[in-house]
Amino acid sequence: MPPVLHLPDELLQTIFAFVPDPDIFSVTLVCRRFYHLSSLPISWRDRCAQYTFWEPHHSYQRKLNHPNPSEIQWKKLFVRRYKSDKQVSELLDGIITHSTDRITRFEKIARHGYDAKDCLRRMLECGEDYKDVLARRFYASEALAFIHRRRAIEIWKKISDGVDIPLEEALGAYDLFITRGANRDVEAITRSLDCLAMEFRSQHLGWEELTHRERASAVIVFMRSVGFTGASYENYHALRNSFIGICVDSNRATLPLTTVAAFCALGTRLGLDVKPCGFTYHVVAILRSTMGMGILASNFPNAATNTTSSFASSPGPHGHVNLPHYLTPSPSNTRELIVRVARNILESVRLTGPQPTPTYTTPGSWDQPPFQPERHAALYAALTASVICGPPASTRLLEHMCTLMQRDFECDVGFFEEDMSRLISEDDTMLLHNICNAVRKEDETPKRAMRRYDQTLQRHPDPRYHIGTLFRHRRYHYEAVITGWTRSCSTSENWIRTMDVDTLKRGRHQPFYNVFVADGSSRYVAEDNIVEIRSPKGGGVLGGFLCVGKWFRRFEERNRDMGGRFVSNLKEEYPDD
Amino acid sequence: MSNTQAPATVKKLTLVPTRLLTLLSSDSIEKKVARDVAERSILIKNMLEDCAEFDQAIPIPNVTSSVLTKVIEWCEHHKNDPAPAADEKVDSRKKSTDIDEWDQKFMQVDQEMLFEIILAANYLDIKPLLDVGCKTVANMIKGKSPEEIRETFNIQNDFTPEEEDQIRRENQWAEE
Repeated sequence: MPPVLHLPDELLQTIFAFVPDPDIFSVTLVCRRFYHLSSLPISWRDRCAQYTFWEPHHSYQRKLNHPNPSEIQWKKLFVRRYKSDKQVSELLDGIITHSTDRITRFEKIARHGYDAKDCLRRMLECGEDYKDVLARRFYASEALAFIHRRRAIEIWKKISDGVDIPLEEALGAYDLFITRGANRDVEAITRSLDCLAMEFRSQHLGWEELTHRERASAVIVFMRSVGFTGASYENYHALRNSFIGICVDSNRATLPLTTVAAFCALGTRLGLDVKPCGFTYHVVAILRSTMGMGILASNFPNAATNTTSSFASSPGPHGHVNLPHYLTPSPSNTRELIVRVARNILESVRLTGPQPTPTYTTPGSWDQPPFQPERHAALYAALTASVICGPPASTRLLEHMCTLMQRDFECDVGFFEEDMSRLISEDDTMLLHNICNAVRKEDETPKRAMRRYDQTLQRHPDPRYHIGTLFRHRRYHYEAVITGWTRSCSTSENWIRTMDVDTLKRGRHQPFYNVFVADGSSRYVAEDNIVEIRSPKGGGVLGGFLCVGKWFRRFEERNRDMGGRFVSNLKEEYPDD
Repeated sequence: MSNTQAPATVKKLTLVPTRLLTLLSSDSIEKKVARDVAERSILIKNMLEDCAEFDQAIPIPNVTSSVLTKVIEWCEHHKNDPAPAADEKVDSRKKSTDIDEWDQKFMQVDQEMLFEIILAANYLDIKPLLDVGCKTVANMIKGKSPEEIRETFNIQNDFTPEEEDQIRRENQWAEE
């Protein structure tokens, strides 16, 4: 007998547990004994345990808690999951290497839903050993964001169809539009609220004995004790205040709507019948109990809502107000609340200035506080929610959304094609159709190559600088990196006049560069204004932006004198760079 | 390890960790080994906890002297390793290729010896050595086709063609 077969079963199983996923399938095919030892349900279950995120239809948690693991088809589940991980990984590779059919590939990834998240999160946090680390992180993050947006849209669509969805999920969908990593999804919000409920229960033994009113008051006192309060006057319009996930996680000084939603979510977990109720400029919670109906109002000190505190002017001993006769408030439905959050977000975007684009510091740091939602992502979330849950979209709203989609959310074109067409007036169908077609066409069409040494363009000088070059602007002194170029100024006459291009030494007939600036903006610069600089380690501030992966594979340290440079991932467009 | 001076000096200092013990292999060969080295084996450690004095040779009935020598060599080299963290199956699998360089060299032995070491590590309850051994075998499997694995370990294919087909289908489930 060969020596390996002298090993007892349990040792062979230990060995097989160390065999990496792709090779375990070979082990099953070696001989009968190997097959039996490598195919125990428990060993496949352990392999499944490496994945954190599962599509709900797998009922993974339920399977995990099943008293008899041999009744679960763990191998089948693992094989499915393993294959989908592999497919996602290949699709992402395709997105990184090919500039065409990116949207199609993103859509294929998104079809895996949450089953794609583990792979993407690994890629988002991948190390420098990947030659395309910057591009990999960027596109993984884009794919995650896309999957999250799709999930949010699904939730809102269900609500709009009248399906009863828990409030925290309905509002948590907004968080899905702004979460970069995978951490703050709706499931995470639900878990956080479950934890809070558990904390409450452990602090209030015998809470079941309390009347509903007493219990509601206890929940409010508890929430205050763990930091829930009104936003300060200066921060009242901060964008983050509209996101229940951020609220539960870290920013507990927030808007009444958000606090009330958290209160209702928590109250519901503790057996209370509490619903938010919106009034003009104010949101309160309504408690239904055997004592009748009552409002819980202004229980969270809030400088900015003093003007509307009339409801709370005579709160009972538990912050409970019996309703005045002239008011017959009824709980707001979830749709109304979603639209209300959308309005709050639009207001915040209008009132607060642009905020810096988040930069990448350490793996997994995207969701760490202080987390600032990206403005355009929040704006896009608010518009999408209003379109789905609000009244039919106006032409202006549609155009606004299309502009945003074309700029940053091209992957969502499928949503525009399938769902938007039902949410707009018939007159706009053609407009929508044309925009979607243009987006698809651009995605399918190979980029025209910009050759550096072009015989036919003799009258235009060849550009001196390359994609990935770091420079300082001669006049404005900002630091930036080159992400594209043209042989001469290719903007509108208007722009050329406004920018005084013709006063430059070489005027408009010189190479112009698309550049990405260290403040997160994109600009267009004449060659005369470019002063090449020795770049700092890792590309300095610029290297910290996730979005540099849109153009670059990695940052390459060269030598002491030259510093390093970004390595282009635009080989199809700029083959000579 | 010096055999001549040890017994006299060490006997008085029972708590000094460098006290020498004698292990007796299955082929009746005695091996002197410092107590802290031998205590990498949880089996021996537990035995010693039960009796303060250990003047007699400790029999290791399942391990031959050549294997015992290898195991002691490993324990000597790793005597100062920190205690292993609580074992995380998933975690250790992810790092199946991570074997430190010394261990890799140490494990460059013929298959018979390799499996003997694994068996000994298992019997003597030396978890880190058992892991290194199992990882070494796992690495021998890595990247190979079923046929190559059979060749590596000299295993006969005892499947009927139908069985093989069936397993291939199981492994392809996702493509249904």
